[in-house]
Amino acid sequence: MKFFIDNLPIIFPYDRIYPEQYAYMCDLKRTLDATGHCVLEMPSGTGKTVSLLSLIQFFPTRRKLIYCSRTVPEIEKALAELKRLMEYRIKCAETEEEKAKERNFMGLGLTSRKNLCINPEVAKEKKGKVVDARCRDLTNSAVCEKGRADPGSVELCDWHETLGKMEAGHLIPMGIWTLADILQYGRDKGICPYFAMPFADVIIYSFHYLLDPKVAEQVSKEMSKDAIVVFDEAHNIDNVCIESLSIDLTRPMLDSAGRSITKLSEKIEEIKTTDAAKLQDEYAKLVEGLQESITEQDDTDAFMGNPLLPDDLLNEAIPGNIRKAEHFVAFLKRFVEYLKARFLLILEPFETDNATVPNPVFHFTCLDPSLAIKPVFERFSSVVITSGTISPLDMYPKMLQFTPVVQETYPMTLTRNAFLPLVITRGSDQVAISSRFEVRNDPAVVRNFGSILVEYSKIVPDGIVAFFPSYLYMESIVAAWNDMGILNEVWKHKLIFVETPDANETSIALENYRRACDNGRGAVLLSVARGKVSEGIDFDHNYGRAVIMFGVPYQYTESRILKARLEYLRDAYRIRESEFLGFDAMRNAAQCVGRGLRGKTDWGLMIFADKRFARADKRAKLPRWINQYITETASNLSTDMAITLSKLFMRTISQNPNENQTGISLWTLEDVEKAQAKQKELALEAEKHRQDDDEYGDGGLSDTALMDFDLDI
Amino acid sequence: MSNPELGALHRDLVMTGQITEAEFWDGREHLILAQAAAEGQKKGKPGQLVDPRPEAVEGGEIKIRITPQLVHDIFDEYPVVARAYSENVPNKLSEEQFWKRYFQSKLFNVHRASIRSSATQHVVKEDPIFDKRPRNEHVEVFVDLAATLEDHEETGNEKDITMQAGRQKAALPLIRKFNEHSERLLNSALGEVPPAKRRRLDHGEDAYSQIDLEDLHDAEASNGIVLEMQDRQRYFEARMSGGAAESSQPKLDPMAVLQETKANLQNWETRLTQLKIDRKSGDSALIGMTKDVANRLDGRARKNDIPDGLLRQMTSCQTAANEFLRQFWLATYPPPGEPPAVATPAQRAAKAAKMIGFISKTHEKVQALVQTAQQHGIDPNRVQTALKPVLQASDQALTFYRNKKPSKV
Repeated sequence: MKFFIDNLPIIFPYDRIYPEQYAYMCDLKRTLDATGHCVLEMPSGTGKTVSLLSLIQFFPTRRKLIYCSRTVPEIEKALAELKRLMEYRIKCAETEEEKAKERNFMGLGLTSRKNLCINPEVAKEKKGKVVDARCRDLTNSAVCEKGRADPGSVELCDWHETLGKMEAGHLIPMGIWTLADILQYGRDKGICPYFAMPFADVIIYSFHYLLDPKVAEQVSKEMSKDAIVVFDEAHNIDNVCIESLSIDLTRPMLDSAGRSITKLSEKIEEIKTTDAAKLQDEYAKLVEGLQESITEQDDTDAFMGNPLLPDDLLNEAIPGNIRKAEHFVAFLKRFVEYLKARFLLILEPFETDNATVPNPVFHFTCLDPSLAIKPVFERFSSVVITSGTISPLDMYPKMLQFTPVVQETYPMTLTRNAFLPLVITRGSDQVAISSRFEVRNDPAVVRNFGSILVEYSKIVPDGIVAFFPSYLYMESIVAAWNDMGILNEVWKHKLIFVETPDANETSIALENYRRACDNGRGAVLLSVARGKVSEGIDFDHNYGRAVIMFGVPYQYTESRILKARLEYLRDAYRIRESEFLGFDAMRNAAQCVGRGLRGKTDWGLMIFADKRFARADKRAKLPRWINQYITETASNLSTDMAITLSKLFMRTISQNPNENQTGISLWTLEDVEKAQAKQKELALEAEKHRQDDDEYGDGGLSDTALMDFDLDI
Repeated sequence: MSNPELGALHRDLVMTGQITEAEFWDGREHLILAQAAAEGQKKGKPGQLVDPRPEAVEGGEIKIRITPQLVHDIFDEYPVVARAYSENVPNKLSEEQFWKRYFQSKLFNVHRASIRSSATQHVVKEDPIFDKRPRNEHVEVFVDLAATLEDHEETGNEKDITMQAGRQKAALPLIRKFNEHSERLLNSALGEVPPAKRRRLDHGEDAYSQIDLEDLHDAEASNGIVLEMQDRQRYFEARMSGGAAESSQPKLDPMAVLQETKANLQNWETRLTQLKIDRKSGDSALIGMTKDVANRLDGRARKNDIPDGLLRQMTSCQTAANEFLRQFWLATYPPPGEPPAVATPAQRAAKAAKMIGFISKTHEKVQALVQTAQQHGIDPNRVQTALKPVLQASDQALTFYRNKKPSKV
């Protein structure tokens, strides 16, 4: 459908639109018009990405779009969404001219060599680092020069070579390319997808490519300043910021750094005596390819400087004192010595609590998430931070130190309750359940958690996903359940899949889990909040009819790094420890249960199993769209009561919805126009009121109108 | 055979050798397939892990009860044990000795899914051949976690100890065992298909369908299937002209009609309750009706004085003729879309000829029946009337065949 927001034409690739989507687009437009930043929370599964792309991508000024997401599956989904939108626009365009204009558009995703390599010899390597290294061996300019001058003397990569023969700038035709598409194109044409990546109108990649200075320098330097930056699924953005500026150093790492520098200085001496001119050359190259050269220590130290020199984040200038080779090496030497000296301030003398052999780890940890994202806010005029679960909204501007022009959360309009959030505080035997450290391994608690799983696996069709607060707890509880015979009960009704430390293994388990859900056999997936699966895998429709959160996913408070961070947040931003911990736990819980919904015809149960969820202050930290559906009775249940309510819910939901959703939770074009007319009227009225009497201000607006239209008053 | 009528027909035609088994089932394949599918449906494997738990008996001994089911399960789950069993029992070991040794072996402890037993895990070394993992299979991009892991270099400090996966070494083999067991169960039900192929088989599992919000589409967006018919154009033209004629008629506003109907229907409930019927007249009407029905039934029963034997003969004559006709038409107009290998045109022509032979005999058969009826003192006309449709159908087929024949030759 096609409609207008103010005067901006929007082509939306569906026949109808959710009111949330409309409101979301209005707010986005407001942000972009004001060239400011915003924080927007839109209920999971209500088509955030498609709304975002429909609005931003075709903003009249045609600003480029940098779209960041967390995981490769999410990147691929966003690309598919963009591609479909593009196809829809081409279909809608009336004249050939317009069609051509639409076609003249490029969007693609960036990812690592490992994910894009099609050279079978290199691609079979399992580790990304090894792929990188082997790729560089085959494609660096020195090798290429040598190989081209004297074919056969060195090994080159055919795919890269074919690319070199083609005309630069036209390696890939216009259009939208998903990662799968680009791989296929590379295979068909015999060219390397990694090196073929051109500049595009829309670029989709992961947070790190913009936030991590090591990567951002290479990838994001060329991005034009008026580009719009979107961080989707940004509820954990502060953690990514911190991660990108933190590092662990161990003794062996430093030792090998020392060795490498010695080698380097020897090399310099050697070259100096032989060829002074060559030295200059070598040095220039060395500085150029700093991050690529020699060992990873160079990486660390060269960029370690960044947070200390935040204005110089892109490291464009080399400090004067290290401009000469000798000085540079001397600097490195000093730097390593400095780190070694600082090693006396060991943070973790032992790797683990019960280790007896000292294995010191130097945690170089960043405490301030705003540090890494500051350059982004400074460089780009519009930054959109959005997610399905990003409550409380004001936390993010505080932590990331920016001022949003729009800050909004949308309720979910539903004609019938599509999901049922329940808080189970005690088992059927009335023993309170909690993942609190003191009681989490109490057999009564473990058994009660187990019986929740057993009971739900009896009554819920297809898939159930259960999340635990940590890997440690999941692993111990799975073992305990097995020994108690609880899992045998589950096996009777469903298959069991569990997240493992290995990503590939878990992916296979996930795929099998989905097969079992499709097939009707049904399965349970046990997984961890903040873990690999909770980030970026959707459990919509039959893949997740119930999501169970066992316990409150608090962080491990004994961690020294966390303690330091909490202290910093308290001192610098006046965020209390308990406030941050509660916020962090609830955002992760919300993220887990939110995975289960996609679209308004989907339905599911959300089970919060911990007595601490019953507290109103805890629940207040959940996104509004979830919290608004937790009733007073449903906030303090025993297992058997919850099961009764769940059965009732499933019986109701499985009936055909008779009432027409159109107009309430679904809008057709007419509804949009009606809403716009009403909005205009209200705005006029409000204006009149304001003129009449300032006291009334924004009087004349009913609550529902506010909720529906999110007027900016 | 669960269908008695079909069974009777089969007896009449195939067992008497009139038509062959293959011919009989031709066109009824779906029945056989359905039957085969129903019979072929096996009960799925129960989900439980094979985990024999020892029971403690008096005197500190432990006992494991070995049932045939358990043995079967163990062999199924651990082919290693099955192999050992077939190699050693009963030549080298007795049945009892074998199980005793198994339950005392380290292998059993590995097989047992228990955290207590996994102490052995620390002792046992990983073997590069047997403990191969992780499998480097390609998974669908939307669930590919490894791609994210390798998307960028890992940065940041190490995770705190509660968030390091796999620290609980003892639980890991157990977790893997769950995943493998589930996969095995799934494969036993669905068949083992390599993931790449599976993906191709899954229709509609493309990227778009996974991101689609289905309720945002108009319900009537579906194109439907185009109806295949002769002279479609003429048909539609006729419709259109008809439509034009209709349009000259006063147009009814659907809304108005709806309103009116609604108004008419208003208060129907109250009106219905106000409706009163005189009891007597109601009763008499009902009684009258019942009588009438009873009379008719009676009459029909009395009329049906054809003796059982004759009736059966008539029915069989009718079904047989029907079957021949079915075969004939099937041979003449084979159902479209069937692989041509089923029957060549020549074979079909031969079959049609054969069938026509049978069909042409229908008249004689009916005549014979009529005569028997006369012998039994029954009005032959009635038999004739009853079998008239069959005769007509046969004649139709015969004429068709005769007309067609010359054109073919």
